Amino acid sequence: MNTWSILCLIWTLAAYYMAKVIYVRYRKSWLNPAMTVPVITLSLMIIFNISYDTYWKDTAWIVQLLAPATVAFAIPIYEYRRLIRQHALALTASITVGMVVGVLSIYIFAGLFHFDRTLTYSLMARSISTPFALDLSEKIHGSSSLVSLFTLITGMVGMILGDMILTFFRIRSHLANGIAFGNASHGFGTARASQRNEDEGVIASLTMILAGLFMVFLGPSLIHGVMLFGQV
Amino acid sequence: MRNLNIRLLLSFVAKKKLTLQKFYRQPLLHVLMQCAIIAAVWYCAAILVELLHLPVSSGVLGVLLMLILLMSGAIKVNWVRLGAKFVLGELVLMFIPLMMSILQYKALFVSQGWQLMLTIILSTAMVMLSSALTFIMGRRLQRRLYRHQIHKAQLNLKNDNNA
Repeated sequence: MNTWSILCLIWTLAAYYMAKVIYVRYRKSWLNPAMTVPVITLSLMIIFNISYDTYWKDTAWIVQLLAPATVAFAIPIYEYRRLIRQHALALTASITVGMVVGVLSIYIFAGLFHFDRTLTYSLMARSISTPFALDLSEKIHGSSSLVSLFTLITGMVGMILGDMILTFFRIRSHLANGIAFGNASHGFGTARASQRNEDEGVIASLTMILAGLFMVFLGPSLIHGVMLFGQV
Repeated sequence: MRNLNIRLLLSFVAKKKLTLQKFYRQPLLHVLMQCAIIAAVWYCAAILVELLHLPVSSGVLGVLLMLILLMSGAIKVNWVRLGAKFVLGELVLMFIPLMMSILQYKALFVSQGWQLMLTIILSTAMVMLSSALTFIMGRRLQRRLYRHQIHKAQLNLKNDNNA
């Protein structure tokens, strides 16, 4: 039993390294390690009939590293503090509107499709970067594994849809595009935005971090407010 | 002409190699030391959260603490820039193990899979559009305010001159 856990750990690290090397080499968005590694690992786990508990036993510590890694988000904020100050008003407004629209739209769809409470909360925490999303889901009692999955799907969807939506609505400003990517599809959107244009990438990563902080601090009251409003 | 082509090809190959090296052959000790500084800041934040029973998580408090330290000059950006870049680049690895828990939710995706996908797609599109449009309108407003201020300042200047 134990050997399987250790094998899972070694496999995860090795597969991640390989996937990253391939991704850096070919630069195709569908080769993103966040997509390829889970898909291959999942199919291997199904083939070899490995349970989730076995996998989790030795890999749990990797997830624990997310908390210290979050601290690194402070460095881009510091480095681009002038840019943030320059667009302070517009940034605050668009992050607030984006997050409120996100939570409200999930509330409406949850009512439409009869999602249960955990599912709804997990969906609401989904449009921000994973470490923040996990933090938020803990506060509002979502499921951390569902949140990480929804966050990943959101990222992929945003990366694919982003080009189409922004071209269709003729939004040409690089800053506006960057904000849209950062707000809606966090890490993946940031990666796509920096491929499109350097400024877009910078503003997308800043928006992603600021939106994450915004949701961690104000998200719980926003979400509870929406839920309460719905019950009245 | 042929020479130029070969040179172009060579530079292309060299460029590809360089991007690979950039990712994994940074001065390792340097990066590790910088990561240790980031981890130390996080550890302080974790202790603070535990001692004061704060309602925020250690990671988020760590971001604020790090910002304060950088602003006050206690930590120079050069000490942590490489480390932060490395950590943020490898963020994906840290949530891969979490993803495997989908195995426990197989039934959910069979029964409500398409509703979930539709919800995520539409909601993401709405967030994207609304934030882009808000930014454009917000910037227009900010510019108008700014212009208004300049206008007022110019008027004051004129009045002063007239007086």
